[in-house]
Amino acid sequence: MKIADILGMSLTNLWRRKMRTLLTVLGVIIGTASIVVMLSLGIGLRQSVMDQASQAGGLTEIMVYSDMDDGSQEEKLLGDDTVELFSGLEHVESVYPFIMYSLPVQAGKYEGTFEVYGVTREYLKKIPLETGKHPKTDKATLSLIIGNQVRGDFWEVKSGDYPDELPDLDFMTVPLIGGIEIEEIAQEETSEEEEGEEYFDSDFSESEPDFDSDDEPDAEEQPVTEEVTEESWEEMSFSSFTEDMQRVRLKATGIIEGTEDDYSEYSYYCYTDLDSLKAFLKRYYPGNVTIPGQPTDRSGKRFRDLKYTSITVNVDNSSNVEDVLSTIQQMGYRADANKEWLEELEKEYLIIEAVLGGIGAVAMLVAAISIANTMTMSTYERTKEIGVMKVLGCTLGNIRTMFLAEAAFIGFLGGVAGIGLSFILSQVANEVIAPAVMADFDLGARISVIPFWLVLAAIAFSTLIGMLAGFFPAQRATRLSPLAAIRND
Amino acid sequence: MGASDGQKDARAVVIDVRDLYKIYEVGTTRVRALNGVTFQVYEGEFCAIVGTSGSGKSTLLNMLAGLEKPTKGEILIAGQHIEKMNENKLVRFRQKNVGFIFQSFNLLGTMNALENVALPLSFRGIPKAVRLKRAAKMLKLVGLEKHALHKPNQMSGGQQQRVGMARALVVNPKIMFADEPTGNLDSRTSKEMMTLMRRIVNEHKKTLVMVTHDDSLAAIADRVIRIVDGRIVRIEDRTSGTVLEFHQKKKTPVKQENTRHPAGEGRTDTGVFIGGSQK
Repeated sequence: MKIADILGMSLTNLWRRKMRTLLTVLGVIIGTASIVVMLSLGIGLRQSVMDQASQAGGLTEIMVYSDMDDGSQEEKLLGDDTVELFSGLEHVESVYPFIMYSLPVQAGKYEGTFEVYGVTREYLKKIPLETGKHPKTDKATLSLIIGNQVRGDFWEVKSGDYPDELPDLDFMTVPLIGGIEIEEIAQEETSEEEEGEEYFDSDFSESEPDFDSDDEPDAEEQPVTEEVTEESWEEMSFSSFTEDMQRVRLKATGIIEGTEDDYSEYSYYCYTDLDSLKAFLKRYYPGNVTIPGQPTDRSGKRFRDLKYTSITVNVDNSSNVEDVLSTIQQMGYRADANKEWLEELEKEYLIIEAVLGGIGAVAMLVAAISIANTMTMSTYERTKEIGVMKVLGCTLGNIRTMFLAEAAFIGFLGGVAGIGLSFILSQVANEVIAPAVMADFDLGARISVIPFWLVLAAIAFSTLIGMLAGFFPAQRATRLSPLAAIRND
Repeated sequence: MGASDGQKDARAVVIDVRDLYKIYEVGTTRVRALNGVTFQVYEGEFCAIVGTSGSGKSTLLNMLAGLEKPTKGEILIAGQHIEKMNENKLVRFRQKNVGFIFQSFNLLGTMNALENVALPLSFRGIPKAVRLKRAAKMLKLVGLEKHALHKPNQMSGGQQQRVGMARALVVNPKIMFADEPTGNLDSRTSKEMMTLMRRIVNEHKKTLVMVTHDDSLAAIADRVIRIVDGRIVRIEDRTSGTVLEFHQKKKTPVKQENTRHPAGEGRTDTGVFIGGSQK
C-alpha cells in the first residue's frame, strides 16, 4: 500500500471523529507547550548568565598571571620572552600582555585612584568609547581612556565623603593630577602601599568592585607635561597625597562606552598604550626604584626590564583551550581559563533545564495516555472495518502503519499547535512578567528563550510520543480477527 | 492445481479440500463444526454450499478464504496449502487469488461507491488514477456507474451489494467467495443479485463459491454441496447431472441419480437425507 494512501486513510479517520481528535490533540498541545515553556525558561536563564560570562571574557581565553607574592621565582615572570614563547604555541591565535599600575589621582575637588592597564594597541582599539578617542602612542604624556564607572570611586577631598550620587566629574575637562611616590630603597612592604595613607585609602580600594590588584596589577602612567606646583595639599586633610609625592599631569582622551548604569569588564579601569606606560614608568622610576605593581628579585630590587602583570592568551578554538592551558601550566605558569568554570556553570544550568523539562513532561505523559486511550477506543470501534480490510487484502503492516500514522498525526498536530502556544506564552513571559520580576537585571534580558532547535525537537518529540502511545493500540489492531468482518451485527 | 481425486472430470481443480475438521471447544464440550469434509471445486464453476444455520457451512467458507484455521485436514487452493500459511502469507494469498462478498456488504461509510470498489487495489499499491479507472469499469459491469459518487448510506441494500460485488471483482481474483450474499436483501433483489452473479461467472470465467441457507438460491449454481452437522450429505452436479449422496461416516457415494434439473429452478429433493447426523 502506498504511503500516501495510508496517510490519507489515517487523516480520514481522524476527521470523522473530529471532536475526539480535537480533544486528544488539545492534550498534546498542553503537554508540548508545558515542556517547551519550561525549557525556554531554563534556556533563557542559562543564556543570560552565559552572555554575561562571555562578556567578561570569551571561552577561548587563557589568563596567565605573574606570581607577585614571591619575587624569587624569576623564571616564572612574564616578560617579552614569555609573550614570544606563548605566541609560538600551537593553536594560539594572539597573545596580549598587560601591565597594571595604580596611582592616586586628584581631579578638581575629588580624589580617587586610577587602576591603569597598559595594553597593546590592538587590544586598546577594541575598547568601545562613549566620547573622545583612543590614545596614541605617546612617550611624553600618559594619555588614558577612563572607565565609565571610575568616577563612582572618587570622594570629595574636603569632607572625605563619597557623594550620594555620582560625582559631577568630567575627566575630559578637569585637570588630572597623579601622585608618584618614590621609595629610595626597596622596602619589604608592598610597593603599592603609600606612605602617609589615611584610613580612607583602604576604604576606597575596597570600594572598587571586581578589582583584584594582586591578580591583575597593571600600571599605567601618564606622561607629565608639567610638574605641578605645590597645591594646598596640607589643607586637604582627606587626601592620600603626601608631601614628597611627585605630581604629574595626566590626560584623558576618552571615556569608555556606557551610561552610569552600565557595567562592562572595562568600566572600572583606565587603559593606555603599553609602550606609553612603559616609557612613563621608566621615566618616573629611574634606576633601581621600585615600581608599584612590578615584581622584585630576592634582594628587593626590581628587574631591568618591566614585567607584565598578566598575559591573555587567545586560543583559536574553545576545544583546544584545555590543551594549551595544560601546556602553559606545565611550563610552571599560573594560568586559568574562563572555559573551566563556564563549563561547570553550564552543567548546573543543564540540570536546572532538565528539572524544568521534567516538570513539563508530566503534562506530556498525561497527553500520551490520552492518545493511547483514543487509539484503543478507535480499534474497538473499527473492529469490523479492520476485519473487512484484512479480508480484502490489507496487510498487517499496513494496518499497523495506519494506526501509528493516526497517533503520530495527533502528536504532530499537537506539537505544531503547542509550539504556537509556547511562543505566545513565551512572549507574555518576556513582555509582561520579565519586566516585573527582573527589574533589577539587565534591560532587555529575556527570561524565556525558544531556540529553533527546540521548535524542531518539540515537534519531533510530540510526534514520537504519539507513535509510542499508539504502538500498543496499533498492535492490537493487527491482531483483530478478520472473522469480525463476517459476523453480522 | 490440486489432483483430482478420481473424478473423471477434465476441468482443472481450483479448490481441493481433503478430510477437513474443525472442532471448537465450548467449555468442556467439543463441538465438531466440520467433521471430515472432502470435495473439489473446479475452475469457472458456480458452487453453492447449502446448509441450515449451524451446519458448518460458514465455517467451511471461512477456512476456504483463510480466515480461520482448520483443526485437521488440508485445503489446497490453486495448488497451495493455505492451512499452513501464517497470517501475513494469507493476506498476500488473498490479495492474489480471492475476492469476497459479505452478507452485510461491509462498505466503508467514509468512502463513496467508487472509492469502496477501488479500496482492495489500494492495498495492492496500485496508483490512484489506475485504480479509480478500474473501479469505474467494475461499477459499470454491475450497472452502478450512475451511483459512483454516492456514499453507502445513500444507496439501497441491493445497490450496496452490487458495489460489494464490484469490489470483489476489481482485483480480478481466481476465486470469489460469497457469504450469504443475499441474506440482507428482499427476495426480488436477491433474485436480481443471483442473476448478476450467474452472469459474471459465465462471462468472466470466475470460480464462485457461495454459502447460503436458501435452496431456491442455490438452484442457480452449477454444483450444490449440502452440509448437515459438519458433513457433506449430498453433492449435486447440475452440469453433468450427477448426484452423489453420502452415508454417515462414509465418503463413498451410495446413490447416483441421473435426473437432470433445469437450471435456475427450485429443487424438489432438498429434503432428502440419507446420511444421518450423529448428534
